[in-house]
Amino acid sequence: MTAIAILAVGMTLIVATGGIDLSVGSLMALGGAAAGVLMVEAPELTSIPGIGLLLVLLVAILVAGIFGFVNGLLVGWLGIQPIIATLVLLIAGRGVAQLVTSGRLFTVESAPVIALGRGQFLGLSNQTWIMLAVIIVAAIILRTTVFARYVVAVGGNEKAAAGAGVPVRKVKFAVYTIMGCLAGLAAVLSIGINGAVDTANLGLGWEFAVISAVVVGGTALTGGRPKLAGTIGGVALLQLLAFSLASHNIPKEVAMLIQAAVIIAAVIVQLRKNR
Amino acid sequence: MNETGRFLNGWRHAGVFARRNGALCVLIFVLFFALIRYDGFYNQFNVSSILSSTELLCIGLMAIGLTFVIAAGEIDLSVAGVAVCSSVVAALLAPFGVLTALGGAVGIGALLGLVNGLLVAYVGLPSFIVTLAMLLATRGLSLMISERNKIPVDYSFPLVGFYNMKIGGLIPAPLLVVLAIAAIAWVLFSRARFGLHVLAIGGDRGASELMGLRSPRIRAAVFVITGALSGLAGAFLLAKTTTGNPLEAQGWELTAIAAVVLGGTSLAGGRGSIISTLVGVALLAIVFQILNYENGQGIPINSYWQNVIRGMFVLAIVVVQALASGNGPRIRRRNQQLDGVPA
Repeated sequence: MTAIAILAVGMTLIVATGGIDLSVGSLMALGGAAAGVLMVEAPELTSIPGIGLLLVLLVAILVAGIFGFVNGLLVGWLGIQPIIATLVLLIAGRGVAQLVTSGRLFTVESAPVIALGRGQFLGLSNQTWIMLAVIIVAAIILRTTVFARYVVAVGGNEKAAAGAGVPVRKVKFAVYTIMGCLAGLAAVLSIGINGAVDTANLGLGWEFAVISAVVVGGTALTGGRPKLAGTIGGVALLQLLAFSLASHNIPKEVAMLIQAAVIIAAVIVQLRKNR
Repeated sequence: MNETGRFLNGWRHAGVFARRNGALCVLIFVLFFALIRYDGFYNQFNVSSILSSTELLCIGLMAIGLTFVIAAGEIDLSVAGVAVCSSVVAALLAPFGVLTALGGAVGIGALLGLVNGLLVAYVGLPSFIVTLAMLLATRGLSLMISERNKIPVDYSFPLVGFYNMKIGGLIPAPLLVVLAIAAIAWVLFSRARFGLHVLAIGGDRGASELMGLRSPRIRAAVFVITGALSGLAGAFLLAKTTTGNPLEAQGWELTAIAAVVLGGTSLAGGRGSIISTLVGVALLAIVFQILNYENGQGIPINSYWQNVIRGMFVLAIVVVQALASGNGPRIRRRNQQLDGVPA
């Protein structure tokens, strides 16, 4: 759930610019593959407390961020529709990740990475702290920076924003790159929780969970104001629903129907509120 | 006009044609490439296997429906889910006769499409999220009505026989059905009022409503059409696999959308054509077949590479389209404008 929330923060920015990113799951697989290869090739380096973990995080975030930037180039520079531009990486990204790892499953030996995923600090799990940090940083950025104004302007009316001097393309590069970096972070968290790098399943199908959380949270798919608090609420609602349905032994197929109904109901509520 | 002038003029026309029909040019190039690259690529077995591939038939039907939806400025992510639901329903109805099964498949598809359409057009929800929820719901529904089983149908089931029938040993019978539906869709889209209304709504819904179009009715209709065609695709899927499998066709919705976009239909709405969608579908089908063929030629391409190549292929075509339609300098000018540099 923390990984989904981190991804949803990035997706909120993209959706606010009127875009969408279908490739988040594949971005995670790419970041995870890079981290996995690093841990397998240089086990003693990544086991150093502090520096090792930092290195793993840096590599995962950098690799996923570069691919996120490619998404940004396709959308911002070539003007390709976001759905199609990110569909490319959705299909190809996981293939690249599996090529890099030869499709094998790496067991994580690095203690700091495991500790990041499973450890605790001051009564809360480490991943919760990281999620909170991401949310707080995003909230501060959205409240205080010019960049946040640019995001809203691009999502509202691209041409008018350009006319008013907003660097539209750079804003698009930025939001897709941020999404990539956050996907790299989420990948390392997931690896720590699972204790293994499995590029075939890391983040598989998460794009739809993330996008529905953002939309349920009230950020319009047509672009406009990013609703960060709503997104967090959307993630909590959908994830808690999934967990509680599963814990009450409700069959998966019935749970899927209930989740679909809840998504529709939540969006109807949003619609009524905005009128 | 002298000889040289006429020659240059001809080239200019060719250039304009290439720019307007990028996907068709790539298709011709790929077909030609296969002819040179592989000896005997166009043998009876191979051609017939391309023509009866699920890419061409099932995804083709979904893509035809999606052309209406996308031209109306909406999107439908539920096509594969609807198709799987229909295939399970058809498998359960198979003992009651082939027409019942077929009717059930198309009927449930149209019904699910109607639910999509009502929620989008009359409740006013964004189609992306409605059909995303429908994708989730149809997958759940398929598992529910099949009780998590794969439901086999007999090889003697007439639909299976029809699906595998080859006319003249080459052309599969279901392809004729797809082509007939494509012809009807073409008439509806390009030669009837309905298509014009769909395009008008996709271009500018507010303006088309001011002109008196009843947009909710038309927007709901495009989802019903897509639903019904996805239902038929589900029946074909059942005939192909002889199993109603609730876990079949994962991710096909995105392949179908990619086929429509590769043909040149804009996701922004207001533009599109059935013929370009067919070109897009044919392009995907032939490239997937070439990947399989390459695999069988002693150069092993594992599934990881296949996905990378598929992705790169989609990328190549959309980039070519973006550059061709933007025409270099125009893209640069637009980019400058977007950067806030006065033109």
